[in-house]
Amino acid sequence: MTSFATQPGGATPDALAAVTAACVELGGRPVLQGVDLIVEAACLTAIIGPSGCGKTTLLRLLGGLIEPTQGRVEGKRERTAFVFQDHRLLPWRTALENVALGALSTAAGRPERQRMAERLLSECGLSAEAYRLYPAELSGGMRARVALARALAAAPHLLLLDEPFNGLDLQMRRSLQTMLRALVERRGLAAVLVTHDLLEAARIADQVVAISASGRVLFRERLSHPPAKRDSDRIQAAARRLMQRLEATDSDRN
Amino acid sequence: MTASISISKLKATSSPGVLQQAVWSGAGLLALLVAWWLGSLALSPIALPSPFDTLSALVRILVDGLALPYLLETALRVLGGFVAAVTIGASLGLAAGLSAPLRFSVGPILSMMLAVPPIAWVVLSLLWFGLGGQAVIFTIAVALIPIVFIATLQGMRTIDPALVEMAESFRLSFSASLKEVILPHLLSYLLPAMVTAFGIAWKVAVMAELLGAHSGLGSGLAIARSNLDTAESFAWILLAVGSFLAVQYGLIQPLYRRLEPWRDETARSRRQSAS
Repeated sequence: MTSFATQPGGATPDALAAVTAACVELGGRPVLQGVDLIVEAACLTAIIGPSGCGKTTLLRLLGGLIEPTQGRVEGKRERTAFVFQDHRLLPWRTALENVALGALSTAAGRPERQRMAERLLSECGLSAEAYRLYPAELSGGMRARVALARALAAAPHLLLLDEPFNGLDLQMRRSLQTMLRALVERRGLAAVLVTHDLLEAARIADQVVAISASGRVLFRERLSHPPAKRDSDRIQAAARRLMQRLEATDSDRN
Repeated sequence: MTASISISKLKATSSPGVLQQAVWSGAGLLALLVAWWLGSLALSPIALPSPFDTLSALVRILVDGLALPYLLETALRVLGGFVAAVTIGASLGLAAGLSAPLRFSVGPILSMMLAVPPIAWVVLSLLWFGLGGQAVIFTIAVALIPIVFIATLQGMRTIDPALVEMAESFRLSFSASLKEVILPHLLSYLLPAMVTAFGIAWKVAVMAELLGAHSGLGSGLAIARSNLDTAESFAWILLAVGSFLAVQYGLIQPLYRRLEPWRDETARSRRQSAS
């Protein structure tokens, strides 16, 4: 287990990555300001906040795609995998080949990658007939499953998801949320999920971090019951509470 | 009657069935043959030989054993020049797409080369290499390199940065990114350019051979012209056109579909109906 001496609020034994007082400027404009975040194994952290507040930037920071202008990012970032909002599947590769691509940076050989891709697609609930289809031939839900399977193919410790279920119907969203939650628990993954959907955060997250429009952390909340024990009433209540806290912090600042 | 026609309707009407396509294409060719035959009745055989005289001249040069070796020679020269042009043009385009200094230094030179008429390259290559196959191959290569370069560079400019970031996020090596992301995208630009370049290569080869080679289809055409044998000239032209079409539809189009199966509408609808 990794521990970080500079963790705000004290180190936790399962900490996998930590962002400390991170500031990011893009094109001379401050996007994130003094952000602290600890990501733990087998824990799903939901990042909420208004559009353009830097949620995706925070994910890119955690994934090592950008470096902070100030502050630090530490942890096992070499084993991270992304699920992007637009899925970013290669249009010229089949579902199976797209998933196998996720394992290209691992030591697995071609046949092993192929077998792994089949297993992961099955685990993510894609029917075998769809394995040889190209992304343009898949529905939105199927593409989300392929993108998730591709991320898992990288054998990540840290899974970064940027509104991966956007634009899907409610039933499909529920199904994918349940699957994501199960994957986090079964594989002991640390997952960070950017979402606009407070019900989604309240349903599957262990902790919620809210970012303000100016790119600062508004509040952190550790949700009280394990996701499996949250019934509809608890989920609705938690979502309402999150909304109230967002509105209260907003009006305080105004 | 409404004047507005939707693009989707236009697209739908522009895709008749295979049999209908064949009937229309056959009717067009038949009309051309009839016009040719009527023209040959009105003009002297020196100006326009009849389709029958041309066919008999074609059979003669094939039976004499001259046409096939010449055809093979032209095809090999086209292949040599084409492969050289694609290798050099695509490599330069790829490198220029990755390096701004190279793009700015090489780009104007290749744009200038694109403006040079192929006949000027024929003259220069005859001066540099003398009569023979080398001059033909050089002319083809130098005429095609800018076309392939510009297509590749255009492809590099339009690579989706989101896919590049995806490749980075999965920590793909440069060679893996090249194979998985860059080259498949470039193919969309390279393949149409290669089809165009192949047509130009065939024309440039015949032109260069006509002026500066002792063998090949162009050379056969030059001999027929010097003998004032218009029917044989037509036969050589028919051979050049026929062999070009055979390569285009027998080799390049199937290769096109094989290299970009994800764009193949027929295969796509077949897969969708299967799933």
